[in-house]
Amino acid sequence: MKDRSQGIASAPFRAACYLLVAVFLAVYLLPLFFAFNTSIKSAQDYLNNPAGLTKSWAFSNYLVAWRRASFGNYIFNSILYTSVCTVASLLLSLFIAFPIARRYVPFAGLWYYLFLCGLFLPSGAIPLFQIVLNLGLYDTKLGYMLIMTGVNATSVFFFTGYLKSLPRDMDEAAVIDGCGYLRYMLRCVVPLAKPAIASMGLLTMIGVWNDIVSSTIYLTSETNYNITRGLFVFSGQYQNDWTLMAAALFIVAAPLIVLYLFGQRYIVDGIMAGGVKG
Amino acid sequence: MLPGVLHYLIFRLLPSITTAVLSFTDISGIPGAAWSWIGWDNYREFFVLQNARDLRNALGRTAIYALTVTLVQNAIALVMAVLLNKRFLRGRNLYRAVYFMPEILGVTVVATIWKLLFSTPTGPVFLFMRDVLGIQNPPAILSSFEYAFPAVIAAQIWMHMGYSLVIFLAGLQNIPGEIYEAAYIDGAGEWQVFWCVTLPMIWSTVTVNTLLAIIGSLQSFELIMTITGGQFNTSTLGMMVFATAFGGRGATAGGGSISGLRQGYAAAQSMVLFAAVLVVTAISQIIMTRLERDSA
Repeated sequence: MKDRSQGIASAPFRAACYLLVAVFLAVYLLPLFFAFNTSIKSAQDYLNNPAGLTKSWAFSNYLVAWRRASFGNYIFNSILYTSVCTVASLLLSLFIAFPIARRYVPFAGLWYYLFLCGLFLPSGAIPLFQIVLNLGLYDTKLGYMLIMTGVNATSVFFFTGYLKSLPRDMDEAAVIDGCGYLRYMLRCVVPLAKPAIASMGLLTMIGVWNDIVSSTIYLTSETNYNITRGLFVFSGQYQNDWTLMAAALFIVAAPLIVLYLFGQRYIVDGIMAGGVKG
Repeated sequence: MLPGVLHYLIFRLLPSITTAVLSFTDISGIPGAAWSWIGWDNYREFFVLQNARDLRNALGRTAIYALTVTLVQNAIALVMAVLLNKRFLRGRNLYRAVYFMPEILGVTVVATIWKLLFSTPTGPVFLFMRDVLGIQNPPAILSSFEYAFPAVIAAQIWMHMGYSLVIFLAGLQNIPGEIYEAAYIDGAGEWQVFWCVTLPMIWSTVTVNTLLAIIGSLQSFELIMTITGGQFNTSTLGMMVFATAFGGRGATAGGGSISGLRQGYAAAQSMVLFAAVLVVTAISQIIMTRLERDSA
């Protein structure tokens, strides 16, 4: 039977819908396209004809920007920060979510509220700064990673919801077979929770990779900069070198774009789940 | 479980709560500097000693920022979500992916794109104003006291619209198709269906999105920091907290800086911001509930 839940949707209405969608596509794609086009223009080409399509195909901009901004070092830092913080955040959250989901801890309901607090209370950036300062971790990679590792309410709730759907019999079987808690979590629970881990993992990765506020606060020596901080400083130094700046921004964004192409579904799932529970 | 809880307590909850304590001190961000209790002095400085115009600007601009972002972002996101939920539309997932893209690109990249678009005299916005609209000597938007703030607001909306859109879509997909079928069979038009079926059915999602946008935009300053650095009349309360505590321009509403990393004063400012978030959230919650009751 024909699907009638969409009504008859007259032709002019359909056309109007497509038009509006197209207008917004332009609003989102044109700036990106302009930036990309600029990134492959030679400086002279850009000055002569800033709005036109590239004639020079100056892909060398990427090499020049990479060298001038010393992105090699920053990318290495960013990869280190992102991988350590993501893995640590996920493990910490999973180990909190599992006992709550199974009600192995007393007052499972109250724990919920404890993490809910984190969503509404102020960020506490100032006392956090004092703690890091007094621990002697200011401007160190370790200090920055401690800050960026976060057990946030969203991932705890997301994991709790997901783990509840795993059968309880499994736990009992594991106990009978003499499987330790740690081994059970890593060998059985983690593989089964893969989709949830993918969603939260990608969101955490994107958050850490893109962080600019904490890196501005906590990382003052160049050797510790992450890549967004590198881009920010670079864009301050080469203020009118737009072709290089455009190339630099795509260097920073490229890993994210690749990640997005492959993980879009998981990312969107994570956002949707977070929003609906709110 | 224990390490996670400890980390959460030490690095998330404890700092949140001690912000209130530090707001009564003159602690600074300089290591080893002496500090003492100064009672309500920070609050007095913010509300009474500060130039009245600066205070009005700081609070007013924060309100304009939050209000504009919340309304415009959610209005656009709601309309686009309803469109992207129409089954006759082809390529819906692709459109959703495009609209959500800036959220992935992140603040620094979006800010750099914005600076590129509004650059003078080679940026496309400048060229458009000069060559298409025929404006003589178009202003340099991002360093203009009049236009920089709207441009930053636009950046915020451009960046986060996709987020609201995805949440709206999640709400829309929970509406059973039979309800629409019944409405269309009864002869309802698109407009009527939207107001009488769609909107009431996703009202809880609308509430969630409104609250998220209010809380987010009241506190957010990342784009302000990266696009204008708080200069040119763009500093909001969130930006002032950051600049007062960690240095930089935008520590005052006028775009100036305060020397000495006065973190006690910044803590007081962030308590003011927190109070604003609480009050506004409570008020909007009441309004949303009342609207729902009236329409039912």
